[in-house]
Amino acid sequence: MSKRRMGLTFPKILTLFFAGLVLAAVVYGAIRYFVLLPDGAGSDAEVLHRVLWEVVPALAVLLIMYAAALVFYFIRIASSISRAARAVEEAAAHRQAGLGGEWAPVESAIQKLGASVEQSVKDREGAIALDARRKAEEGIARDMEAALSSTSLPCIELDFSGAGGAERASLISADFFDGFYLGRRTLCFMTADVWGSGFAAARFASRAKELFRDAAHTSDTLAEAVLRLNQALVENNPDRLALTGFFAVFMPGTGELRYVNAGANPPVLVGKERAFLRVQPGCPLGLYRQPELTEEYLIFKPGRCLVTYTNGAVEARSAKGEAFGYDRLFDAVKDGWERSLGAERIVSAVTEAVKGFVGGAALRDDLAVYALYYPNGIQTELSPKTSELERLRDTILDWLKDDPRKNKIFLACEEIFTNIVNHSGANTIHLSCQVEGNSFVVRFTDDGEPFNPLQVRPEGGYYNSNYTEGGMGMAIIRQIAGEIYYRTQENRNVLTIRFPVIKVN
Amino acid sequence: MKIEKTTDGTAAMLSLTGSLDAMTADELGAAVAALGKDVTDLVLDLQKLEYVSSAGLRQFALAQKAMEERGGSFSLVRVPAFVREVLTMTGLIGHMEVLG
Repeated sequence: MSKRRMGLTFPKILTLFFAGLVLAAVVYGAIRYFVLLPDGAGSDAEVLHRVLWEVVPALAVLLIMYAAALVFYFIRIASSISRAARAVEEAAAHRQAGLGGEWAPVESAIQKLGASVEQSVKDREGAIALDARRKAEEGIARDMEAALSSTSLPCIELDFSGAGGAERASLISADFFDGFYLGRRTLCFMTADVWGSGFAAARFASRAKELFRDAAHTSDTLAEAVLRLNQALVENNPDRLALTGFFAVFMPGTGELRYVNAGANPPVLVGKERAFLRVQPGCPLGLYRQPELTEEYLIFKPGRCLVTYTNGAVEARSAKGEAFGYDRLFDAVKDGWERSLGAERIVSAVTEAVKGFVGGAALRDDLAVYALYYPNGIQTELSPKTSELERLRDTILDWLKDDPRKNKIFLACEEIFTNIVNHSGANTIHLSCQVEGNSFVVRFTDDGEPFNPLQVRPEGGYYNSNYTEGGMGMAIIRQIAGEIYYRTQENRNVLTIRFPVIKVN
Repeated sequence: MKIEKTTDGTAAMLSLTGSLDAMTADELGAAVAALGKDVTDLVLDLQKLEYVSSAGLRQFALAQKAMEERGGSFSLVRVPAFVREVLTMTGLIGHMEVLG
């Protein structure tokens, strides 16, 4: 067992030794006291006095020696520490000069040792500082990220939807998207790519997003909003940054899509065919007081989706160095368009495709994507006659194509249709079929008597009734449909049935 | 919808092909009526019935009532999955004799 493990240092040994002597003195004193006493050499107090005179001076001398030894020991230690420190300092001072002769290898070994100790201390300090900085940066990045992304919720309407998504290459993204309502059912959206990276770029991005929202809400035209954004960016741009972006407003009422391109890639359009949206080349924002920007517009027909994106999407590179490119972008959008039912799914189809393509390699650039999904609905007028069932069947089955539940969905539609024919006394029945979000939505609008089929509940259950009531039909509808709503609107009965979609891969 | 009729004394079997919906349900009603009062045991063979709605089920129930009133029987045979599901949705399956 080593001394070290026993923990025996010089002062401890000394103390133990001293304690032993004190104990020995006490024992000696006691023996003397009891040995002297029977001889009758005086009273007890006298004997005690004599014994104490023998023992106490010896103990006092021992105590003084003990204290002196301790003091001496600690002074030695202190001086050896300061000598060592001086030696290290001297060694450091003379390190450059070096020593020749037989001491050279020793000197160089000492130098190496000193240098490595110094380096490891530096490394450790560096690591601690780096860790602290990284933590601080992560905190800021999270805040910035939250500020940039949290406010852009998907906009989901009955007949269209808009959603965005982003992937970042580093902690802080300089690419961003936004989508928000400008009044009822008017969607304003954008994607932008800030030149540069890091905090300055992220701050610029966050400001640009806020500024554009403000400008869009208070401007008469989209071009005016973008110009105001540019003005604000130019006036306060200490880091001399700029952004390229695509800005658009969609009004489904008129089908109008208005857009301004500020140096961004042309958005892609996917429906039956794939194409680029025709855009004028525009000037990036934040650089010039009077940038050349054009507000363009087109009638955006249903049955298509538009996807705007930043460079990072098409320029993402695989481990082999191959670029993601436009063909893959079109494929991803088409895939999202065909398989899924909504802007969010199209966005995730694109971001997943890019991530999958890049694979193990890290993204080299941020990317932001925004999709406007405007599916083709079916509208038709039906006469309130049972014979119209054939047309209803053709419409529904044609619309649902290969959905495995098309017969059931048609069954629910037939029950509703016959209910209206039998009960409402309507002159016309308007049918609209749409895919909304994750549901097939069928809407019957008729101009008959106010009639809420959801309230049909025959007395005693329909089996015991005379089977002419709609109770059995309603039982069927309720079990097939996900949700049913009834309302009256402008003296019309509006019955909306949602059928949740079962995805078939 | 196509309806094929086979009769044997007081027993009859109607084989339905196609769609039994609000448009065609009355054809089944007419076919059952055309069997005459002498038929007391009716079997509906549904093997080729692709589709049924509540209008069709109503005809099943009316034919069942008619047979019961004559002291006879009513049953469905070779019921396809879709038809069986609709019978289940409405609860009618518990009131009818369904054979295979």
